[in-house]
Amino acid sequence: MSLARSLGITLTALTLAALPLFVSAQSYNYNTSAHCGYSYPTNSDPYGYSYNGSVCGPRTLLVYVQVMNPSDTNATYAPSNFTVTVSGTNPTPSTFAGSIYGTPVQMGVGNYLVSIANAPAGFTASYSAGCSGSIDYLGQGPTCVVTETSSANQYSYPTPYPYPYTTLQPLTCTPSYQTVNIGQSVTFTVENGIQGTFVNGLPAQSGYNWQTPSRSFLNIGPTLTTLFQTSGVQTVTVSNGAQTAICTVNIVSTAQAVVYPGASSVTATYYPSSSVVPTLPNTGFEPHTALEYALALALLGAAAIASYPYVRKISFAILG
Amino acid sequence: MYAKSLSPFWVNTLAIIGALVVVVGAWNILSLTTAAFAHGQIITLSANELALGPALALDPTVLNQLSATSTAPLTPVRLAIPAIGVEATVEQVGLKADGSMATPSNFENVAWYSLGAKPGAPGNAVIDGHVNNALTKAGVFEHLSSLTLGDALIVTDSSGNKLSYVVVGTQAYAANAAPDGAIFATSGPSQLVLITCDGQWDTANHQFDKRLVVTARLVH
Repeated sequence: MSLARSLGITLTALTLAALPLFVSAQSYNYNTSAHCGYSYPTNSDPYGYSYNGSVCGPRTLLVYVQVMNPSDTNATYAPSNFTVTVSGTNPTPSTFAGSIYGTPVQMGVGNYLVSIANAPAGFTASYSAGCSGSIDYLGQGPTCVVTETSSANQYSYPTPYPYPYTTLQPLTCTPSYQTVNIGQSVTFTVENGIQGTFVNGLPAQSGYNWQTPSRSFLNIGPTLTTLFQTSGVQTVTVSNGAQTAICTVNIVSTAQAVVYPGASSVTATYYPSSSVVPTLPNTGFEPHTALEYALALALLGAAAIASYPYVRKISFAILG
Repeated sequence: MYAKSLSPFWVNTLAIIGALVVVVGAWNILSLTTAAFAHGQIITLSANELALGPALALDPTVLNQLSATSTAPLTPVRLAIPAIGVEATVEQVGLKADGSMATPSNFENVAWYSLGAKPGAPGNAVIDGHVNNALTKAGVFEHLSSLTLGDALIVTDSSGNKLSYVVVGTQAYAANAAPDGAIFATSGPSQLVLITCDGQWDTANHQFDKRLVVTARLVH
């Protein structure tokens, strides 16, 4: 990834970081012990999660898109060529490019419907049972599989795909430091996953959802820089598509802080916490005896005396 | 007959060379003998004992060496090992590209693994030093194998604060079979671990075939 792209994603992450604060103040501070009703919201909450004085958290709908391309042409359409639209109780995102790896959509309880908006000519969509219905606050969120098939496709239909898609590389999360002081920033970097699609620096397809002990950062880039005000081992969770990875970092008070020296005196960069055990150092050199050096010196001297007249003259003068 | 044909110059030259060979040879033999005796003092401990160490009754001399010290964590700048005459500057190092702990930049200094535990903090603060150099000169830890249980180690920070340790174990490990996780532990009792090369030179791998690990417990 280029420096410009890294910078762009980081700036996007920082810009969007302020959004969850606003959201949190209005709707995500839910009480899990309270009863959530099934009716649509009737109050003025713009996010629709409040019912009868209690608040319900959002649920996650997973939407997968697979494409059966025409077998008689070279045309190859990808799931991202199909735009998915989700209607329901404040779905986030409500419109996105399809993905074989699945796209999580958060939404409030109530009825929902998944549809394809811009299918290329000749394609027909079929929808699994989880692509419409009612979502409530109990149990696992539904899974929707949309299959787009070309009318020219000659293969058997439907082709069975494993869901969740299993060939995706595991999501991994790495902190920039293992141990930092309270108040010192840490950058977490996530790798693999579906990695998201960014257009003009803004996420157009599933980015990464980050959860720190105190805040949520939704649909942002693969890096998150944050700091902690509480000591102890802190956990940061990142999700992307149907995958989740966990980072941990040890926060210490100033009195106990491990203050690393400047980069010039530390040859290592930073590593996942599970792999920072070095092997033992090599502190020795091939031993030579002093006798070897004495003989080498004697031979060198003899060669010099034999080869160079001036060395011979000097030696005669010294040794008589 | 041969002697008659040699000039006084060559007689003197050969005499000096012969004397030089005899002197350095005798010095070398003496060094090897000393090293052999030192190796005979290695105490074999298990990996568990490396972490725990036996209880010790300290010699009064050692107690005097350990006086006026603290137990707060510090960043070491000096290491003293009175029993073997070491008084060395401590460098801070991390890892080499091959994943091994880096080594000091010269043969007089020692190096603290600054990505691990600090002296005085929980876990093992690890310090390494060279055993020799390629020109037969001694490294700072040439006589590390001479340390015995109860010997004192003292680390000092830039402000003069000191931490004192006593040796609780020494162990020689095969270079590729050491319990790295236990040696570089970042939790558990506060210990100081000294490492240097040991054993025989492995020509194929360009290194000594063993590592000497000395473990010392913080004195409270």
